[in-house]
Amino acid sequence: MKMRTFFAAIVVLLGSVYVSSTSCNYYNPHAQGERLYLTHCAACHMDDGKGLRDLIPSLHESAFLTRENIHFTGCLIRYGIKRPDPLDPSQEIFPMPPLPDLSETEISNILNYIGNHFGNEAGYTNPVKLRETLSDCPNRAPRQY
Amino acid sequence: MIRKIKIFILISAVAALLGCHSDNTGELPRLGLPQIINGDTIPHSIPDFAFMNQDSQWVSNETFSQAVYVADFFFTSCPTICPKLTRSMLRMHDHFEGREDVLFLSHTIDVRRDSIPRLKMYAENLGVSSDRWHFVTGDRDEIFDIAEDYMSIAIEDEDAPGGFDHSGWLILVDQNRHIRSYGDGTDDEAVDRLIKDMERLLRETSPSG
Repeated sequence: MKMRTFFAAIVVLLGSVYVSSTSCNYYNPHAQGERLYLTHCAACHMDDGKGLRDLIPSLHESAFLTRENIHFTGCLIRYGIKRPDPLDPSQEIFPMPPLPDLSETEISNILNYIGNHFGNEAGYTNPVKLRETLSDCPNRAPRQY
Repeated sequence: MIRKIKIFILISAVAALLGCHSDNTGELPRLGLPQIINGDTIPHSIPDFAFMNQDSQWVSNETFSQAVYVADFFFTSCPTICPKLTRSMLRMHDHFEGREDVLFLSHTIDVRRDSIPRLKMYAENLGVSSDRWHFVTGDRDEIFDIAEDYMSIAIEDEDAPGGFDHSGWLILVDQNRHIRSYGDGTDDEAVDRLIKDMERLLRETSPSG
């Protein structure tokens, strides 16, 4: 009988630890942005935003993720980075592929996440402000479907 | 009686948990389908190959006769799993820094675009050299075929992102061409396990090292 009480006590204890560990989560203001980042960006820039040496740029304390440049970075996300192939300048390559299917809201969420993580302090954007920037991107290319 | 049953269940549970850990003594297994020749069981082994690396040098089985190596399949413009595979390879490469008996072999599966200069550029941007890490290209079908010998898949598929479909295994091969371990290159914990297996294989092959 004592044994049974002991086991029951352990079950209750483990249960309460589990419940408290799930309910004590701190509030994450960038949950959407983080989820979108992990889905669309982390394959290359990595979950920790550190990229891969000189192959893939780190997003930590990035010059692209400052108050001044954050909106232009929205252009990079939508239209990608295109440049002549260094090994064959007659061809163009995408060192960073475009993500034409993300909405302004989704891009804003990503920018607000990466712009305020990884040591960046870019402040906040919103879909309305971003739409203005995106309508006038220097790297704009026709959408391809 | 009930107490006895409970103790028995507890002991079984502990035993089952211990059973989850592979035993860390003895040799690593030789993986893959064995062949039976004249009644002898011959473990699966990597067949003869010759590919060219980022420095235009031939790389063959001979290159790895004094070393254990990790092989993978990738392409430089791959938008999906390759950056993570390469990062895992780099982590192992750096972990075994200074050891000439641990080498790395990355096969491109996009032989049309991944020319030798492009592989060279990729290796340089990664900060690694052919002393320890070979990025190779060659005949497309030979690469696709040998992928199967590494228990991997490499196929052209225009519906796949980047035009190729391939698996993300990192395959550990010993000096005698036998596959001794493998891990999912996109899973950090699997890579940790693979590093432990590499250390174990090195102890097995060179007890002094």
